[in-house]
Amino acid sequence: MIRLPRLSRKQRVVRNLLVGLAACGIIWYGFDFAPPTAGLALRWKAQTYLLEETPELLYTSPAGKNGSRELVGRCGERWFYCRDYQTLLFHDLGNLTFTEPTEPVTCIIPPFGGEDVLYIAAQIPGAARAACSVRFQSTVSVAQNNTTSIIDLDETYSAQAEANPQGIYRFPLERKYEDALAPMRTAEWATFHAYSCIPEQNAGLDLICTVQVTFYSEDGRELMQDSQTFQAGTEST
Amino acid sequence: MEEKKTARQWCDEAVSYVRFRPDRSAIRRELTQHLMDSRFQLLDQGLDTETADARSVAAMGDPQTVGLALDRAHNPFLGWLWELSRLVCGILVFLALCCVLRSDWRFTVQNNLARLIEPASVSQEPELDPDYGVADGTYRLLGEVGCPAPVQAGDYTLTVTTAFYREETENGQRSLTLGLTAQPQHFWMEAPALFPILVAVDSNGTVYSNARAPWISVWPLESDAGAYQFCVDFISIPGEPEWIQLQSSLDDSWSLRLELPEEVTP
Repeated sequence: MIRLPRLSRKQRVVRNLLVGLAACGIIWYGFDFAPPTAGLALRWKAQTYLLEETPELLYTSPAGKNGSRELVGRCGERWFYCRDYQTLLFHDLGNLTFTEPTEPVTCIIPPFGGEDVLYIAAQIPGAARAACSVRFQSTVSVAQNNTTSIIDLDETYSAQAEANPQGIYRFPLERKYEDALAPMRTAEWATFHAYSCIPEQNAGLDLICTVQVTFYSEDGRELMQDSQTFQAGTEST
Repeated sequence: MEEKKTARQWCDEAVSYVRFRPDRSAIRRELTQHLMDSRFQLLDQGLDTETADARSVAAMGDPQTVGLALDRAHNPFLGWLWELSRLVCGILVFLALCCVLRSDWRFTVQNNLARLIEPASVSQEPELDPDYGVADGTYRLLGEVGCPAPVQAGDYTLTVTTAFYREETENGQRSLTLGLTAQPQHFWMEAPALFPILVAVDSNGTVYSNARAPWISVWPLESDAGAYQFCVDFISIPGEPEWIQLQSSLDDSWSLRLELPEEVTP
């Protein structure tokens, strides 16, 4: 049997550090060289889009679906949105979705697979909170129990959000129909799906989405109102 | 008169100078062993128990001097560093084992080893066959397209390795097919997300995108070691453009211009 030399404490510390480093290498390797911080993950992700600019992370949402978080920030002039699926220390980012800035308010709609939310980026001096209403108008054909019904869906979803220092507001949109078998729920699901397809302009459903946002000061005074309309397939203001 | 110390008292006093507490019990054991050895030696020489005890303790010297020397040898900084390194190392080795035991480990190893070990190369062209469908008359090759010089696109070098321009004989629809290699600067970089960003414009001002016709389609081919390979297709090229320029929809920092054959070979 091979007898290993007895190491001094200093040597053991060095040995443990080397073993730890090797283990770190194996772990990193096992995670396919995933980046250890969200900032670095974003930089590497932006590189895969052949971008030279370094993205600036401005907002990280609380953990949502599958424990993933939403990242919102700027990359050059554009706004970006992506999901961060974190395992241990490592970050695995989904696709980046870019939104061209519009003045004074930019609506950032998460793509398919994201949360039912709307992000609004706006630098309104003195704004402490904002109220938003999102109106969906669509016509959905729902096939259920061998019958097909045409549903004209016209629903408005309201939400409020506090201002974040970078001027990003997150409005969670709560779905209204719970009953899994109800045609309205299917129609609502299809409409939200179409909404999530707006950023990549690949929605098949006829959808008009009107966003109305009002910004308020700390004392409840109305500061500004803005309205934007999006259509599935083509975006219009 | 100084009270005579028992072996236990001597050990207690000596170890009390050692600041690194986790080592104290081991030091006490060793000192006690020394005292016992010395005591048994003296007993063997015929001394009585009490005298043997007293002499063995006296032979150990001043407990303070011994204790301070032991404290220097058992440096608390190094001691705690060692303890910490053991804990961290244990956790990391456990996590590394978990990684190794993951079901997709073999795939990851193969994938990453190829990227780490094999030299990066752009020499291997994608398996794009310009003669496909030509022999049976499905396609007609319209001519050779020169490959433009490689460009630096962000942290990737984009190289067009092959390009051919052809026409579908049945409907006269023209298409341009490119073999495109993206060579990352660092081994850990993922494949570039070309599909969502690639657009093109031709000399007639026609814009090609993945969202609407005329289409540009991108799909990955088997990656060469250290480089990612793609096939880029321009489908239903309208008119007879002189050139097509491939670029990013996100910025205009790079572009690849392909000069199309002026006169179509019959």
